[in-house]
Amino acid sequence: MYSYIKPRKKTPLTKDVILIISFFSISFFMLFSTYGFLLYKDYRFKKDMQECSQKQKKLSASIENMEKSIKIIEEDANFAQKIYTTNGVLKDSIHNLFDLVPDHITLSKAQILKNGLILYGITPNKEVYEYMLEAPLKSIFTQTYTSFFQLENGWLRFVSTNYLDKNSEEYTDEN
Amino acid sequence: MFDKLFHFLYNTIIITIIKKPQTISVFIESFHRKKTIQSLEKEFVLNDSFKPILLQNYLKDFLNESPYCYITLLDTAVEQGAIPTCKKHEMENFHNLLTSKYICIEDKWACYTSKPAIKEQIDLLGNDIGVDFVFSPFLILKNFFQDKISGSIALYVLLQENSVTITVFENSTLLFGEYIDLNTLVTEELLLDHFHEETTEEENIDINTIDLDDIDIEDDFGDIESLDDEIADLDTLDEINDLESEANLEQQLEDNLEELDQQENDSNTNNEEKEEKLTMDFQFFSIIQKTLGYFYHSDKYKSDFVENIYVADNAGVTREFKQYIENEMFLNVYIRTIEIELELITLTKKELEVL
Repeated sequence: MYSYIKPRKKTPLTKDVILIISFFSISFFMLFSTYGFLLYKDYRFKKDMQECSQKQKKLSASIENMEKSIKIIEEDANFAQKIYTTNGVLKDSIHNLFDLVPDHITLSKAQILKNGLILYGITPNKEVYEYMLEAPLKSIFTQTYTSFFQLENGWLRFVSTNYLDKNSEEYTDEN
Repeated sequence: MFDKLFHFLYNTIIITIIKKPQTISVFIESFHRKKTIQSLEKEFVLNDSFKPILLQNYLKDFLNESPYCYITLLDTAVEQGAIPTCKKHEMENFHNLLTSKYICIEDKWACYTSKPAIKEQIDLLGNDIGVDFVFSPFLILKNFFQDKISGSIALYVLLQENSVTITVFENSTLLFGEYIDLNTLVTEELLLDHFHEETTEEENIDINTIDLDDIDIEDDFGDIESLDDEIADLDTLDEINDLESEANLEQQLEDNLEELDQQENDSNTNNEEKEEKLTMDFQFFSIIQKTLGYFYHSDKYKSDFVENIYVADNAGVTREFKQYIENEMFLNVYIRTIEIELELITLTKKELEVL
């Protein structure tokens, strides 16, 4: 030390430098804040997008299932409607059939076929059957075949087979 | 680390301020990583219109330019000097240091100055600006003659317009140091009064009243003769021919006066300037002569015969000055022109460890 006094401490942080540093600090802070905010938003957006995509996939799968279910339900409904209609028709047919059967004749069995009707029963005599039952049956069906055999009490057991055409032999039990 | 970074960003500015009798000299050097960028010089004339605020406003521009701006003053305190010891109990023999501030140089010697004077010099710049370094002229001298002071005993003198700094160095050790302020010499007779106590009455020349216009060759010869006698006594140079010396001096002064007469005819202004110069040179010569005498006679100092005198000239002495010393004191005179501002810059750089 050759000087009588010590030099004053020099600080580079003059008013101008402090102003510039403050300005740049605030600018950088805002810049990085905005950048961070955008990064966060981007992250959130991607995450939301992934969630939405997953939801979409799930919903698509759900829609597919629902469509399948709707189809099945529609089919079931149609089938039910068909059955209901068929049952209605069948009910009417059976009702009509039983309306056809006179009081003298007793039916023991009836088989309703898809295109035909087989009736089993007993009749007091052949004439009653022919006039009271066979005539209406012939008016309905295109082919009518009847076979009789004698019972011990003098009554006749008959089997009446009636078809709308000759093809189908399929039938459903209705007993 | 940050400090180095900021040093890299900013220029370092050193402002040296030297107060002279009629002016304040301001020298500014800005540099960046040891490379000088700019050097400026300005002088403020100390007339009635001068106010410290003018200087302060001028400096503020540089202070605002870089935070690494250092202001250096050359100590111009009247009460300052150098002591050839650095031991406190020995220092008291040379100067009462109660109101002084001192610094030890290489643990060999010390230079001191007045605390109030330092404060006064710093206050000139105000609190806003302040001062970073205050250097003693003794250090300027030591630094300037660094290549010489390590040699044998020699007298080293720094001549300024308003002051003379005189030292004796031997093998890089200070033996003697005195600072003489020419402005206060008239009223205080600071040094001469002190010298009178230990020197003969014949040696007493009132240098303050010397004016070449008033110089009577015959009267001056009486004084010069007595000086010659003293030197002869001191140096025990038996072979010195006093008569020859007197004759030479007489011839020399006559020549000077003839020259002055001639110049008077040509230009009164030049003549006056010359006269002033010669007066100043003689004043310097007288001071050096008296001081050397004091050094020889004083018991306080370890004295030895001085053969060489190295003069750092900042006052612009003439050839006559050299001749005075050579003829009267029989010393080998070496004069180097010194720019104190640059020396202050060098010292400041050393302090800042830039060099």
